[in-house]
Amino acid sequence: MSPALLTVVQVVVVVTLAPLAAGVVRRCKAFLQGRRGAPVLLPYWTLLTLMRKEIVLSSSTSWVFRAAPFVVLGTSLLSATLLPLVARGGAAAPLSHLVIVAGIWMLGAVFLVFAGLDSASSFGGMGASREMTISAFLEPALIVTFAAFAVASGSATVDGMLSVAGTGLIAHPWLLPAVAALGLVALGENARYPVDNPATHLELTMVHEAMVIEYSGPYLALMELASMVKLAVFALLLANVVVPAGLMAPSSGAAALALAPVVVLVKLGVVMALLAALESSIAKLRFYGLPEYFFGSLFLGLTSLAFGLFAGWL
Amino acid sequence: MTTGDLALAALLAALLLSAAAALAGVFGRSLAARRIHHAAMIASGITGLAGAFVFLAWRLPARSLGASPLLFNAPLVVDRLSAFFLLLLHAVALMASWFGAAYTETEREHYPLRAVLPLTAVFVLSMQGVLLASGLAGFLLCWEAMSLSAFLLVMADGEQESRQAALLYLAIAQFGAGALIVGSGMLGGGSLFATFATMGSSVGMLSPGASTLALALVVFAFSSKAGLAPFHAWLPEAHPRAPSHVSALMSGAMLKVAVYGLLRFTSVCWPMMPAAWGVGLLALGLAGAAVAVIYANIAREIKRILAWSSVENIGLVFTMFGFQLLLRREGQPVIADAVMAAMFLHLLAHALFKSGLFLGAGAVMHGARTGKIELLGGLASRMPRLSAGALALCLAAAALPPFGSFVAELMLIQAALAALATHNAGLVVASVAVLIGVAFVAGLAVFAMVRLFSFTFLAEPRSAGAREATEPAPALRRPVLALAAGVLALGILSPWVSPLFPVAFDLLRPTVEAGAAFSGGQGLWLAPGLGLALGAAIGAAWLLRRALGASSRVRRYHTWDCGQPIDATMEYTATGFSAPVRFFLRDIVRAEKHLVFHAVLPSNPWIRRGEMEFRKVGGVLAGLYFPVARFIEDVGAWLKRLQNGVIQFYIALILATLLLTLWVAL
Repeated sequence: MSPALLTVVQVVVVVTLAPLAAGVVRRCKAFLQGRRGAPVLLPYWTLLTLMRKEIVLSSSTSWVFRAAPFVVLGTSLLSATLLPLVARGGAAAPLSHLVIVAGIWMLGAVFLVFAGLDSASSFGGMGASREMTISAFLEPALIVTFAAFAVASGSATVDGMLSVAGTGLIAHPWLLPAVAALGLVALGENARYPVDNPATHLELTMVHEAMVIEYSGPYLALMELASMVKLAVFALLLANVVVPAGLMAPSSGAAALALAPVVVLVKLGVVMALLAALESSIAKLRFYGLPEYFFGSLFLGLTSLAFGLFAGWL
Repeated sequence: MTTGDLALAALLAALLLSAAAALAGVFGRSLAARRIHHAAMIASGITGLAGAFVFLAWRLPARSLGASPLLFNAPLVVDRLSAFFLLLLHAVALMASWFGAAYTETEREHYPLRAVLPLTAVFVLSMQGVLLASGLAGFLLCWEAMSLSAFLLVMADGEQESRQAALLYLAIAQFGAGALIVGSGMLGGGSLFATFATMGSSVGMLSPGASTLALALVVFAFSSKAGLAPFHAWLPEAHPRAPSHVSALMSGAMLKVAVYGLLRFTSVCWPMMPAAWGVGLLALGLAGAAVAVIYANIAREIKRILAWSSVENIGLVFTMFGFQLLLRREGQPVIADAVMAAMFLHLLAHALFKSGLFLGAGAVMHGARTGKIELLGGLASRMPRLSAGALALCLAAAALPPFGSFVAELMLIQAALAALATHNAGLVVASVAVLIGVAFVAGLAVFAMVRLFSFTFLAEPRSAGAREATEPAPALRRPVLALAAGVLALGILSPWVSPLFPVAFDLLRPTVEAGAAFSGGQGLWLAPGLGLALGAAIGAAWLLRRALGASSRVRRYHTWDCGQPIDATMEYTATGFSAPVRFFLRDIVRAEKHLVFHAVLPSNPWIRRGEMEFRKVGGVLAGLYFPVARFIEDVGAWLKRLQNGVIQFYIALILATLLLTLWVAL
């Protein structure tokens, strides 16, 4: 299969499965908390219903508010295109450079912040301030963690870094703190526990929900889809770092191609179940307690990097 | 006439046109003279830009523009290094003059045009002179003219605060100039009429100690002019006080001229600087950038935020300069060249976006009658076109993809990864510092620029001035939009811009597939694809909405208000927005919060109006500058005892001087 086709298949698979992943994590959380929960396919209906609804635009907002959903969803789609999620060696793989990936995520966060502030409500402002803080202070941890993988794999692209995933992790055990750091960064970037509570609309705790609170109709659908796709991207990236098996490649045969969607489903299901278990078992951190979280993830990444550099000397 | 002759003629014409503009500006009372001045300034920008571009693009060898006794027998010379900085200078000068032509007319009651116009032209002319001088005397003369014209322009509005800022700037500029004159005198073998060509050989005759002293003086002179921390204290005071198009010239061009001076002197006299200098400049650059970007998140005036951002960017430039010195010393010239290329790209990107932002700040302050971001807001719907340009420039200043500054950062981090792979202990430590430091600075730079854009342009206006603002005149917004387009193009087209850099960069084309291994400058070649992919992804998001059959019915309604009307006073403020930064980094910021409450009703003490103010504790002014100033004052007071009015004592002094001179001379 040609690399370009692989990339297209990956984007389509990730975007179609992303709402399902969101449904699965909600259902698992409900189960763990002793509730029945909504059907796992509900997010699809929510998105389609929102698409048909009228848009209510705040009279305080400007063109930036109307442009933001497209940029936010665009950056989510782009990260679903570049990263090795369903396939490795796609046409866009050379662009999955660690700085580019970090830059694209930051661009999405920036437009979310613009949207939150443009609504002129204090909810939006508070969420925006917190989101900007989390994104800005997680940047060193993100870069250092990826650098640890880059040193181990000899590649600056995330696609190339997967050469040290899976059994490679056993050969480079010092990468385990970096995997943990990547997990912490993923929780922070996706506004999940312990950084944000995705299920609340209580102003004291909101981050992501506060910024999109003024959106309605199709714009809200785009924003929701963007955050679902981003969650699926991080889930698959983490899963692939630990278990890279079942990834499509330009050289893989028909059987591997048929199996790949099943593998993706299983990976998403497992990560979402783990996420639900995590979110049901720990408490959210106080916002002003977050520096420990940021520095913790930075030092986990730095530990891996330092050991990796020493390993190179020996 | 060859291409080379044409390029040189264009550069010479640019010089003469700015001289003519200075002359015309003196008669700034008459409208005709002002028009001639503006036309000459714009023409100077265009010819200079074209000449420098042709010189670089056609890879012409170094040429002299002709000698004259007026130039102290050192001809004006263009080579690739000065041509690159001439390109940068004229790009900024052209846009600043275009903007200034309309801006100075609208601000006639604020600024005495008879002084501002000729001084602006002299300022540009002296920067051209610094870049073209091939001898010490011409260089130092133009350097002083540049400092003095900038000093006068800073206090052009005649306000008390401007005068104080200008005097602080003058003091540090003269301190730097003194160091430069002494250092140059040592390098020129005691003569200030040496040329750069002879300086390289005479530095070999200095003792190692004298050579190090000369290097320290020269580095201090140029880094204090460029605003490297801790010699930056004047920059956030002085840059915001000048008229906006002059601020654009100062931040966009003058800081780069100082970097040019450093590159010129060190490349001539110390082609291989000791590694300790690389470490020192890298550490100062990173630390300065980190502190400056924190203050950019605290400042509350547009131009002050921009000035702090300039300190941050200059810090990054010095980081790159120090890093490449270290790489070169440790035998990694390929990676060092990539860092050099990243530095030139960053200098160019910073020149474009920072001058654009200063011009945009001028347009905003003209329209909304204030530069305090707490009093702005709502301008995106009132100035849609200017806000689009400002958005692009803010994203560029935040080093976000796909702008030129992002590509420079990408190349720097790529080079740091390559240096990690060398397993050289010194380089590994430096690279880890660069990785963490640059990521920290980049994160907070995004914070600062998002804050600047959002509180200026988004949500509801917070003052009458902002409420009544309208789209600025085309002549005020088009230069801003042009610079925004320029920095975007610089990012997407960076692989094709890079051959203009004065560094042997063509060797760095990727030989294996991009990203397979991280040698040198491959990051550059990812930029065009990234720009296309980002555009395509945003287009895909737009198409997705169409494909899913989204409704397009829109109803306008006010923001959700919990049943109680909300207004602009309930919005988040810029101070509140960056509160987490102040809180998390309170050990670095060290500000005292002062709260003052006044009761509104005498009967009820709980209904009250509050004022809050942050006062900086410590800082570089109190810690470094004031002790130096006090020392100089004490020495002065002590020396004043000599002036005791006793004539016999004076005669004794003259006699002593004579005897001493005789003793030294014989």
